[in-house]
Amino acid sequence: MHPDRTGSDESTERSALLQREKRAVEKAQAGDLAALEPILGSHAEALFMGILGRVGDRTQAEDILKDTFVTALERISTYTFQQRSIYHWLRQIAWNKVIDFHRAQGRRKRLCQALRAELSDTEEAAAPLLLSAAEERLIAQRRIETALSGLHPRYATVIRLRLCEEKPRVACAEALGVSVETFDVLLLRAVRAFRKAYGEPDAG
Amino acid sequence: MLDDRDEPIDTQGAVEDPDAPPRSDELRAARTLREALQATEEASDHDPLRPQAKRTPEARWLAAHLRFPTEMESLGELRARGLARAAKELVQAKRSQAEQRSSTLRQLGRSITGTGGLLLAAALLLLFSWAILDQGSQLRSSQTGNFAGQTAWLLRASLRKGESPAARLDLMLQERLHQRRTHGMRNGVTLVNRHHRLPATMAIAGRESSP
Repeated sequence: MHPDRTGSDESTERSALLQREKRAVEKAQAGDLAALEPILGSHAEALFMGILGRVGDRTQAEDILKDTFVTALERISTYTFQQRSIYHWLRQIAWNKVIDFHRAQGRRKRLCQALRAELSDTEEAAAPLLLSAAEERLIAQRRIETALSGLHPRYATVIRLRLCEEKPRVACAEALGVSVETFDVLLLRAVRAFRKAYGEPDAG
Repeated sequence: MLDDRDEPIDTQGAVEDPDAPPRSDELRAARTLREALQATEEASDHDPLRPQAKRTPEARWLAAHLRFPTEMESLGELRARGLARAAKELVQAKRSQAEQRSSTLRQLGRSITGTGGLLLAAALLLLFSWAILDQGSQLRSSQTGNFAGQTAWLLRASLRKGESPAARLDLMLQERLHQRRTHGMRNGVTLVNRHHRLPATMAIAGRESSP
């Protein structure tokens, strides 16, 4: 089910969803926070996918998602309902939390900048009404593909196989037609190149 | 740490030969990296129930930049609802705590105001009593001063006349008695002896009726 699809059914569904969200927001703004609980729950999956793709750790992603919900509930009185889902507002809060997380981890600013750019994209009027979990996954994938496009194609392949898809070393070595030991060295060089692209010190 | 905003993307990776023979330090570093990424080695890594807290900092950094979630890693409806409920309960608890704190402060303010008012009233009462007492003592001291002056004047007059000490004492006693009587009548009491005060009229009547 996705509200941005074309067709009268989708349109009706979308407006019904918006109406439901609007009522829930109004109730929450009047003090009934429980009214917003199902709305938050319905957006949790997509938000989780987006956060997980930027944090890389499931436990951290869950913590950030919970923090996002807490902040949203605390600030619901400041939210102005426009003709689009509350999802975008929640996503903005979540992305800011992810930026804070990366800052706390001592990350360089390139990743944070990329996240901020995503935030400004979603603020555009042409941005989709709602993003599903699958679309959030796709966005994360595209972001990684962009990061890898600056690397040597062989390094990009190594990283894609071992780190993006998390395939075992043996399978990666087979796919590249090299020994496992050679693959390990290839991966090291690929990671170093990737770290340098991000301005991070070499951990190797 | 340096800011990477102005750093151009390093193209070293694109220039160097990925398949060049490894140096000894590279072999060592490759082994370290392999160990750091050990947690991602098993194919079951995508299992949502498997804890990922064991990841090393290196693995976490790479995952944050390079890992996109798969369909198998969904949060699940139950967990999603649980997180939303937990967040709501947390906010409600925070709000109730804040309300409790503010009501406690209000109560404290009210009690402080009450106590303050009471103390102010007590202070005003004290000030008023002190003013009355002070006025009374001033009046008494002025009267005492007046008696002493008159006694001195009588003594000087008697000495000038050359009267006998017995006559001088008698004159002074009479004058003192007269003064006491008139003062007692003005104030409504007359000192009959050291321990009993009676209204002036009764004192006078008592003295006239006595033999």
